[in-house]
Amino acid sequence: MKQVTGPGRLLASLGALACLALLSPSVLAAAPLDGAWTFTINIPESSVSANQRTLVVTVVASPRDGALVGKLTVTDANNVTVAGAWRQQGKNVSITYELPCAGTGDNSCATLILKGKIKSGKIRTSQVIVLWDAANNRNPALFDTSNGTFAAQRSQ
Amino acid sequence: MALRYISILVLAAAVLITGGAASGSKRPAQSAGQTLVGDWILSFSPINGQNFSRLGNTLGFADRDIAFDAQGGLQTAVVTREDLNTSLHPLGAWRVMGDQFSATFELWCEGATAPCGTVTLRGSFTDVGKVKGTATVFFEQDDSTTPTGLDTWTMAFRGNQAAGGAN
Repeated sequence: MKQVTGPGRLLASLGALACLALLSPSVLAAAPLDGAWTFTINIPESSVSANQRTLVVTVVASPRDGALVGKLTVTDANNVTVAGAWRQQGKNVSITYELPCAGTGDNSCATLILKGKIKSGKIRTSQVIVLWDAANNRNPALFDTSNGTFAAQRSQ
Repeated sequence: MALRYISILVLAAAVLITGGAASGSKRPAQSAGQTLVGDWILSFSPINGQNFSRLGNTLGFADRDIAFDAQGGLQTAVVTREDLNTSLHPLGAWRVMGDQFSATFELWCEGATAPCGTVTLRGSFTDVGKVKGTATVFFEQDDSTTPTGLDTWTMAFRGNQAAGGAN
């Protein structure tokens, strides 16, 4: 068998790379969110508080079965489970769910939107948007909003 | 005898005053009675003539049919009819607090040329089988002028429960 050396090896390598690039997108696509994850979410205690609270939740994302969006469940430290939805385009993931109300008042309930990029069993470059129940005509969202962060690691 | 009448009058006055204060409260405690479970038809309209977001994004003002479900304690929702594109079925979740509700959806953006996004509905029950409120859309496009850093757009909506609903 003839051994390829020098420029021949370079051409062979380039050819292999070209073949990889032509593979179907599904082969090269980022891993889907499907499965169980542990999320550590840091958000303000309320829209008017500088104090932060940390939520450690288990997120179980169901397969999308060909759809562009999927369902998921979020279970908090008190073992309260709520439903949510997720969408993934390449590495970019967006998750949304209704945060269980911590008490009474407009600042105890909120909607969370979590955005990040999946890479190697983790979600990085994360952003959390909190939409509180407190109406606010000066906010473009018409309600108080806050920003937060999260870290996520695949648990299964 | 006179003392007994006075006591009854004072008691009656106290009941009336307490009842009046309760009926004037911002959020009546009726969380046990309201639910979104069922099929709803929501009609959307611009707020202050804003047909587009600051960066020119929009979802349009098509009617949407949304099926709200609650099974095993999980409150989910799916858009079953979207007039702009009948093949789109965003998924979401919801909650009810007294006479207020909140729902959030991940948009289905197949073949979209515009940014995708997340939509939240905040509203109240106005009558049996009727709701109204506002929708907030967070488009996945950076906008440094908003507190969230995302292009944001709002719509008003009114909704009616479809016949045969569970509300």
